[in-house]
Amino acid sequence: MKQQKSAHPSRRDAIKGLFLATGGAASLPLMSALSACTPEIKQELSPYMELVSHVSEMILPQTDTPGALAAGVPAYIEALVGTHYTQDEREAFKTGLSVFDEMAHAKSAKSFLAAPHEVQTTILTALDQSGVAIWQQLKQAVVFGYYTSEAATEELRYDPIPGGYDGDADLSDIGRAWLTTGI
Amino acid sequence: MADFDVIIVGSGMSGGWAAKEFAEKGLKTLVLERGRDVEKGADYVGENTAPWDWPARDTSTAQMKADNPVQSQCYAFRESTQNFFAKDRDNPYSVEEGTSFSFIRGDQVGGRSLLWARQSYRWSEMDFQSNKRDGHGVDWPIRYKDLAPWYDYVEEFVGISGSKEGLPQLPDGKFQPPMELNAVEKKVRDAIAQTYPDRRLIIGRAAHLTEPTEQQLALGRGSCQFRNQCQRGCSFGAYFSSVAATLPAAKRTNNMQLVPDTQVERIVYDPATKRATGVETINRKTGTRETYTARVIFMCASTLGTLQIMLNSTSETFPTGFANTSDALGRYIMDHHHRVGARGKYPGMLDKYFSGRRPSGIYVPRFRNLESDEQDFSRGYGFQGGANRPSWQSTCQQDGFGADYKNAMREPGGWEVYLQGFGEMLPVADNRVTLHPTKTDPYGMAQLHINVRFGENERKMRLDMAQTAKETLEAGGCIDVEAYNRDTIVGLGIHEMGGARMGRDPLTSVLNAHNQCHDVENVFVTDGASMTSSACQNPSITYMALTARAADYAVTQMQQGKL
Repeated sequence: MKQQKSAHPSRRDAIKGLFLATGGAASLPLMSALSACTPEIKQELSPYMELVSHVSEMILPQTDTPGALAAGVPAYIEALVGTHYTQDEREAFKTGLSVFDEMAHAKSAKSFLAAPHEVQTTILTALDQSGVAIWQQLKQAVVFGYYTSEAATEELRYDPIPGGYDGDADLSDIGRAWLTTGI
Repeated sequence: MADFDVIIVGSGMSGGWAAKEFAEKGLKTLVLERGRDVEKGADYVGENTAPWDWPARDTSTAQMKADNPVQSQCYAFRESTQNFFAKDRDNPYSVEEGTSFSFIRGDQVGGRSLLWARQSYRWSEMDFQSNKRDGHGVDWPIRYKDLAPWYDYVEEFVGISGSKEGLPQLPDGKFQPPMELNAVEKKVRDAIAQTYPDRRLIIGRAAHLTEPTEQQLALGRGSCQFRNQCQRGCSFGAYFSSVAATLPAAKRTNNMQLVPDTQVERIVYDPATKRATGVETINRKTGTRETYTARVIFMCASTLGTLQIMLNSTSETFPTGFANTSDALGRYIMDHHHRVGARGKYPGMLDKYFSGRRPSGIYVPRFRNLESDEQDFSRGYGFQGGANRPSWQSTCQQDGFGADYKNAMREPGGWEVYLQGFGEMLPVADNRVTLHPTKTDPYGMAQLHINVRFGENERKMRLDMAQTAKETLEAGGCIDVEAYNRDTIVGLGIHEMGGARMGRDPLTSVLNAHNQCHDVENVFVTDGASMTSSACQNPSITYMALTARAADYAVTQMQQGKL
């Protein structure tokens, strides 16, 4: 498969360890999201949602299939942070997001959202290489929210009732990875 | 005149079989189930749902884990399946200081037959002789030949997909067509055989219909659809559960009455006749207490459920628990130890993939200590596992973002192969359950106090399991193989058994060769509590065979006026 080169294998291993230790993404505490949050918390999070939405779409953009926005990822993250996180975790999440604007300031932009696209891309690349916690947290939430959404059935292969098993299939006949793996 | 010919306590794997056998033979049968009723299909609330249908995308949330700290340890516990797990608050128990035990439990009609992993392996002659061979535990009062025809009998009804391999340590059964090994599993199998001809990699034997019989179709069961979401319930009835198979078979005879929400508190003993007369129950919804009477009682409440009731059934004759002159009741509790094995990568084969979600894996039958103990431990273990190409859950861990990152996840990850050991646990007298002197469950019944730990034999075996798993995968052509040997908790094998063991001697065992109490001839125990040793195979199919065999014996005795 197409593997991007990483200058930080130790960090990647750490993230991988996090997934494996919990038996896969589905049991990550971060992923234990929920239903709608209270109006108060919604209000509390609203100043951050534009940034979250924008970065979500940059992580998983619209291609020939829906991107994070069309998949409802920001609403998922709002529910996750607003319903599941403790007050402290929520504060840490909000504080952590300030790194985007700080890095934009360092590049002479007023804010991350106001920065030119190339600058935004440079910032995300730096964050991705740095392994800073808020980036990992956001990236994981975006990925999980996207690939557990109905929109992802357009991105990967989805078959709710396969009806049989072929253990010697050609990948070229299937085309893409399966979206769901069962229990 | 008793209310019923037979009372069966429990409606799961064993109770369903007892219900079917007695009802089909024309006996007036009462099944008592402590949990709620479950109707096939209608109560399978998780079936045919997708992740986005669930508030937390079908995960186990922090709240769910806080509410059910024990049940949530099960690999299958999540939003779509949690309705088939007991609520921890309904199932309190304590553990001895310095020990831990995870009691994963169903609490409904069907019990854990709705949740099981469906792996179905016969025991062999070696397993029935093991206690005698090495002196751990007492000798089994039966041998393979006693149970073989009953394995045949239950397998034909249950429907087991599997391949015939001719292995003495894992006898072949009445199989429906096997599921398919995938392309890499076949490669690994062939490569292992070059180095370790005694380590056979075979397809798992699983209770899924792959070619339903007339009998199975008549019960409304159909072929496996390869969704691999079994623990949500299966409206196709493609995997075996009592709800899909044995209970409907019992029901259609009109000889069975099934009463849910009814917890049996004690078995009533009559010293004058030296027989049990019936059971006392409490309705968990209304609190109403009732006594049901019958000629014969079958205990099928699951290992620990049955033991709780028997320990609670004290009398002048049996001051320490029902039919317990041996003092074996509650002792010799076993589970299987697991969470030890190895995983590695299989290079290449990237043009190969699979379609469908096979609800079973591979199996490597026991290859240690087959004839005698050549290792520094007794007994043995088998491996379960499989080869897989991971999807986004794993491939998302690469660097990057944007269209390239998204497109990269369209490709499945490279092949990975894993083996996980399931090891036999020795029967030890001090591994026991008792009733807590003061604590009770929400219905006023004394709680279980559990004092079970793995021992030195298990510890030594685990070192060998990790080592052989690694060398087996390496021999199979895998690279970057890593062995693991993680802390495990007794109970998490969800194969807890023993506590009312079968044996030849009434002074050292609770049950005889027909699962009949030595002390009380009209009470039988046919669930996991009856096990004298644990072997290393998944035990459900053995409980089923023992139950059908014991029911046949009881009916014959009743017809002859002896019971």
